[in-house]
Amino acid sequence: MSDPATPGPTSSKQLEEALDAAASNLDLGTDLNFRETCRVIGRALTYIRFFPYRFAAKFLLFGISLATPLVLPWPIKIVIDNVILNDAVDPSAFPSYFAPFVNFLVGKTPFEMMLWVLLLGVVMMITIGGFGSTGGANDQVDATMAQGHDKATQTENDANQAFSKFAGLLGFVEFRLQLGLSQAVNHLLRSQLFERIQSLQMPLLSDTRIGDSLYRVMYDTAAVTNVFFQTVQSPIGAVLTGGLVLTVMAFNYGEAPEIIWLGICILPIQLIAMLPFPRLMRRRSQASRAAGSVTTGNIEEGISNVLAVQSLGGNKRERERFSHHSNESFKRFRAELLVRLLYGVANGGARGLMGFIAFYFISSRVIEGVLTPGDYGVLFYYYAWLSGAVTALPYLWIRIQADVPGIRRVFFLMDLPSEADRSGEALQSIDDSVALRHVSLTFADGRQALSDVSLEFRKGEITALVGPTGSGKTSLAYLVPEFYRPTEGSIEVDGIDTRRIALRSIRDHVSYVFQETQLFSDSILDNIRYGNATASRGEVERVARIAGAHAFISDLPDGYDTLLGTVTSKISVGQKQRIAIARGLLKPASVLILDEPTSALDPETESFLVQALREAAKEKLVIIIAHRLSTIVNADKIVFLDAGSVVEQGTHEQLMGIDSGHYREFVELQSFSQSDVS
Amino acid sequence: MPVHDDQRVDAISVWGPAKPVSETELPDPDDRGFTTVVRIFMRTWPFLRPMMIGYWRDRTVLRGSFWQSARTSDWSYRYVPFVVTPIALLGPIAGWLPFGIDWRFDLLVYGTLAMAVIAWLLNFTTGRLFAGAAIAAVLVGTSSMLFAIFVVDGWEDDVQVAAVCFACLSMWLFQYRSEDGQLRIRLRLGCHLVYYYVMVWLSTLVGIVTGLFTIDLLNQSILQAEPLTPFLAEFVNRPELAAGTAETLSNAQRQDLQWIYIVFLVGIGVITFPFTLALPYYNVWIMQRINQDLRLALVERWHQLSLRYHGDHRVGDSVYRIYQDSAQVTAIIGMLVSVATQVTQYAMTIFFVAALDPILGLMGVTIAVMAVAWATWFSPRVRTLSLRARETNSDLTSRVQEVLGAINVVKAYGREHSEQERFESDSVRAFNAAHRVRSLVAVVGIVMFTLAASILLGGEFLMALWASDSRETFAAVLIGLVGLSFVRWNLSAFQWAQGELFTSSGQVRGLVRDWTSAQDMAMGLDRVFEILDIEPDVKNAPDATPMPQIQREIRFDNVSFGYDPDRPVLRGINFSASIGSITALVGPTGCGKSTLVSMLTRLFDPDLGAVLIDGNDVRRFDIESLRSNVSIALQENVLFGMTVRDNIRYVVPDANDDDVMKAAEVACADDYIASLPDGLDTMLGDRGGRLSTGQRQRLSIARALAKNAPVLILDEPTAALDAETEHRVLERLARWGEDRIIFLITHRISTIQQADQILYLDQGQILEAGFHEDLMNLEAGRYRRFVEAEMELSGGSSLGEIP
Repeated sequence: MSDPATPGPTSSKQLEEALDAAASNLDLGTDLNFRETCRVIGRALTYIRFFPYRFAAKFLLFGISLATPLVLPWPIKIVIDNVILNDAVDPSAFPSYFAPFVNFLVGKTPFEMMLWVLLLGVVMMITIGGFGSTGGANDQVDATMAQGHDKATQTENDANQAFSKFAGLLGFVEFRLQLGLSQAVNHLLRSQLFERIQSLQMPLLSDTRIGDSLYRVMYDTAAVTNVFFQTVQSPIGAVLTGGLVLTVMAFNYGEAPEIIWLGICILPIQLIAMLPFPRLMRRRSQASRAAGSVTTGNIEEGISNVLAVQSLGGNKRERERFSHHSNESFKRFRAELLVRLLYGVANGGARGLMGFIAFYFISSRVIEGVLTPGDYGVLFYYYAWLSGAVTALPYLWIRIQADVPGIRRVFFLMDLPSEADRSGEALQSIDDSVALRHVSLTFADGRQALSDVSLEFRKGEITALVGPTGSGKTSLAYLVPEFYRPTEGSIEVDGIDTRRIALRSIRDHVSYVFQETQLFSDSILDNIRYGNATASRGEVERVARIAGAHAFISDLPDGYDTLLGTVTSKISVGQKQRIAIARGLLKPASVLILDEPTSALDPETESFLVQALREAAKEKLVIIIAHRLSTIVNADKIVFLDAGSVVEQGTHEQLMGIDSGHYREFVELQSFSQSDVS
Repeated sequence: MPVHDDQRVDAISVWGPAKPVSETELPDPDDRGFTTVVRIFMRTWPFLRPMMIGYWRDRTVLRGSFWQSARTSDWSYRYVPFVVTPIALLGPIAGWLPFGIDWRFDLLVYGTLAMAVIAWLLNFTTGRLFAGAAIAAVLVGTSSMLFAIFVVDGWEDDVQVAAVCFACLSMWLFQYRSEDGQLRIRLRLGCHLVYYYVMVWLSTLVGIVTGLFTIDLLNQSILQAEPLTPFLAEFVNRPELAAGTAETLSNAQRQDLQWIYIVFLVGIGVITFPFTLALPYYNVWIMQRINQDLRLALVERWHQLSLRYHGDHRVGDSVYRIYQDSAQVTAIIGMLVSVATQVTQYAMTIFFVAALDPILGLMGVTIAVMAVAWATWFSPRVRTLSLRARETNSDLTSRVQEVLGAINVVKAYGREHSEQERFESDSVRAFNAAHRVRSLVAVVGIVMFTLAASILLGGEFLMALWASDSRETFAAVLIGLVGLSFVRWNLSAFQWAQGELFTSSGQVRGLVRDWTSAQDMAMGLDRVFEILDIEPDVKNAPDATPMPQIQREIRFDNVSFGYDPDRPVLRGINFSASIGSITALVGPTGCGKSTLVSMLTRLFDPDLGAVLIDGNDVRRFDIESLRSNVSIALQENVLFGMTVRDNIRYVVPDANDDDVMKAAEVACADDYIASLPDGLDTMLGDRGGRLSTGQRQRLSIARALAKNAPVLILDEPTAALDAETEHRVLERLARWGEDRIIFLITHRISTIQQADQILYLDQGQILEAGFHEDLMNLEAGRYRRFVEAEMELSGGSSLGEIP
């Protein structure tokens, strides 16, 4: 990603592409056309099938809440006409659903009538949180919390979306129902995504950026809520409201069908006004999210590596980098906002145009004397109501465009090929050997790590992989537990092709100690037990002793229960490595692979470890990658790699016997530099 | 997969979280009280301030000897009274504010003259008198302005009063200074919040005014054929339609007016649409700037904090605080404005309602009292639940970051499933916490409405009966002022009073909503300030000076240090290293070598003793300048997700490609960089993935070298390199480091023996120090034993050449 220091691409399309690439190397084709957008939305809607009843209940309540305007104003008519103005009660002036109550009031004194209206008001207030009042007073339930002006900061309200047009008991019920439903959908999607990311193949994983994945899991998934609710709610609301308006109008103004047409005609005009916006919204939303991912990555990286940053004196640099990325993120958000505002203006223009036509039409009728001034107010109100309902649909479409890129990003990661896709036989144990047959490994960007490697590792043997840096030792070792899969050739375990074996099964039988140590923010005990959760404390101490870790762990004030942070300075790098070795030893696996286990060990500890490995090798298949001669010398077989090919293999004596052999040269160089000691 | 999904679907139950299993799950209500919340908000002032007060931008305007004599001691605004007074006098004189005709105009004249007097006062007073006068000016100015706009007809008076106000205001905006023969002026720029609210206010004004016009035009003239008011008739250029001239409007005239109406609205639309675009954008821009300042403060503080802090806190927590918690600051302004508006409106509404009947006023006030009582109950609970929701969501973020950061290990040990379980349980916990707080907020609103509605229903009951009996009102006093004619309760009185009561209850409910929101915001901000309050362990002394160039030596003078006070990691370290020397640190792991060299960059400060450079304690130097003089290649090769080039020049971003390649060459990284597909532009993955460990190590060394610092620290620099590469690297390093002080931590004998000084450490103490030969000659020397063990391991046995 171009930091402030490097000059970057200039055209806006290039900028967008650079931003996408900076966020994620994998997710580059982020532009969507109409059909793809519909497909994404459709897929998001399939999540309804997980919650059919809850979903239906929410919308039932929602539909009912749309009808509250039918009920609210009538009590006030009683109060005004019959109590204040003291007219006689006339049930025929009320709609049929309200008539029973009115009938009940016939013949009562104003005081009694008021009492009953009061009672009705109390009942309505408690149940639906509204009561008859001038204009109809009703509350709505909404628990939106304060949010910021950046994509990531607005997701909590999305993930916990809930509101009701009611208040009171019904409103509370609808609110909680929707809140639970929003959360359930989000939880489901987040969990699915996280599971998929975890199961991605290692080469793919190393191309994903932690900040980007974090952003998708935490912030992009929330976009599903809007699609989930709005795509159903808006059309329902539009249709119901529209129907309501039409009925009421027909009831009172049967002779003004032109108003109805006007209200509906606004739709095509709005569709035209809307044309350039969906794609613009999508692009801006995607850019916003990509910039957010980069910022998240920057924060995450800086804080995880705070030791390095401080040591290197990079405080100022980190601050500049963060400032730059955060500003970019804010800028993209503003761009998205601008598109929304522009749409508002275009939309407003369209509505204004139709509004003028409606105004002209109705007021002309008033001038002609067909309608009264009072009718103008009512008819214009109905027109506004109807056109508002109709407008909801294009407006919905535009709103959704901001969420579609988020959902697309989620589905993108979920659709990548994962390890979990491969099933197979289960392996009981590895009894005999692991063999590589003509294996070649080429990475996605064309680098060739291994070419035509054929090797066999036998149980009961220690095999040492030796060679200059970058010769492919680690890549080869990664093939055994299938972190990498060979591009050509095959791997066999006890003679069975690994492609027929369940991946989980293979991994269960291989214990890998990585060259660079990663520990978790758990206790030392739990860290060592990571591969064997049921091991006893005694067993843990046993392996810790072998790895040379027991001494210093016991010296710590909390001993094995000491909590390690992600970033920790309580123990040194070498000590961390020993804990990792202990962890590897504790896992009950037939194959043990150690990648440079001794690079941070002092000589005494190292020889101790090598001894122990000798012991362990009697029952296991041990592979060690090492530079140190002592370790290599003790191996039963040495494999010398150079530039991805096996150049020599054999025992130490055999290889030393080769004239101008690679291995011999390698050894002599090492001991030559050592033998300068006088 | 479907099995998992079924469980997930049920994880969040229909009704929400069940009652907490144990008391510990739901913490006690937060006890802190109202003042704490207010105090938290006040702490945000430094971040809001730049947007309100802006900054000064100055420039020199004129030069000349005249300005030598007319010297001002500081930035002054002496010119203001000379400007304000004429403008104020212009009003009555020119007829814009005619005096003696109407009491309203008189009031305005008094107001403007008062401001002129205050302007004089402000120039000649200081301290409390000054503050008092300033407040008086603001009050008089604001009330005059409002009075002119809303009460007095016509626009000339508005302009006049505005001019006087602005002239007074220029004291704050525009100042001059003369010294050294120059006249300089400065302008206050960047008070964005002020600009924004002025524009909002103006556009609202425009809206109200046009609204009044158009409603009149539509309802009276177009729909009811009534003639226009004279002002309106003149405005639309149809004097023949004015009230005096015409009795009623003909159809043709009304149709004409229809077009005028449309044109007028279109015109207004065209004028206001830039504002509908610009104002929200501007608002968001301002809020983002404030948020950015807070975020930067956070990030800066985090990078200063000691490793002790970071060891106890999780990375995802930082992400959460930077995003969600700091974002709360953007909602403060809006909330304050909303609160202020609603309080003033409420006061006015209650006043009018009470004038109609004291009982109604009492009802209105009761709603407020009930709101306060309710707030006392729910505020601590909202705070507690809000904090819990933040913590659990922060934990979830941390969980994701940690698992993805260590995904290799997760895969290797087949722990995906258990990590997934932990994730899902964290997710459910976070959602439950969010559910609780939001449900409470919803309940707060519902209960508030119910309380208010009960009062309102009671009011409706009473008022309807009064209106039915045509009872007398108390409103006689108000008739003149507000134009009400409710002497007796009737339908209009009923509707008006009901409307007002309802509005006032709406304002109280709005205030309750704002207060609830404030509780949540306060918790977020509290978490931000929690970080900003932490004092870094290592920080600059108040009189820190930049570090001068090293002339002679670095000395450790009896240095002791421990992460915990009772467990020292270093004890009594004494040695010195001079320019051009290589000092090797040797010893078993965990003996304190890395800690020792960290003291050179002031990652830690010694508990006892001092680190001296040329005899100066490093604590006297500015940390950044110290660190720019010390280069370090760490034991754990930390690289960042940037290009190779940017990684190498991480601390020297201005380095050109030549410098970068030179550093790479010394580190023997140039050959493999050349073989990479994009060379220096190759983008590295997170943590520098895509390269082998040996390649990363060399890159890390190159990074240290690119800094070109006089002090170089190499911590196990060749652990991942094979012998041949190691040999080359060390050779080149030795040449590169001829005039520098180099510290080397390593096990490799070949490297060590080239050192000018070898320090053997164990248990945090220097046990032996000296040249290689001397140390080897020590009987039963620890160093000797170390070397012998190392030689054995490195192949001495097979060649039989151990001495």
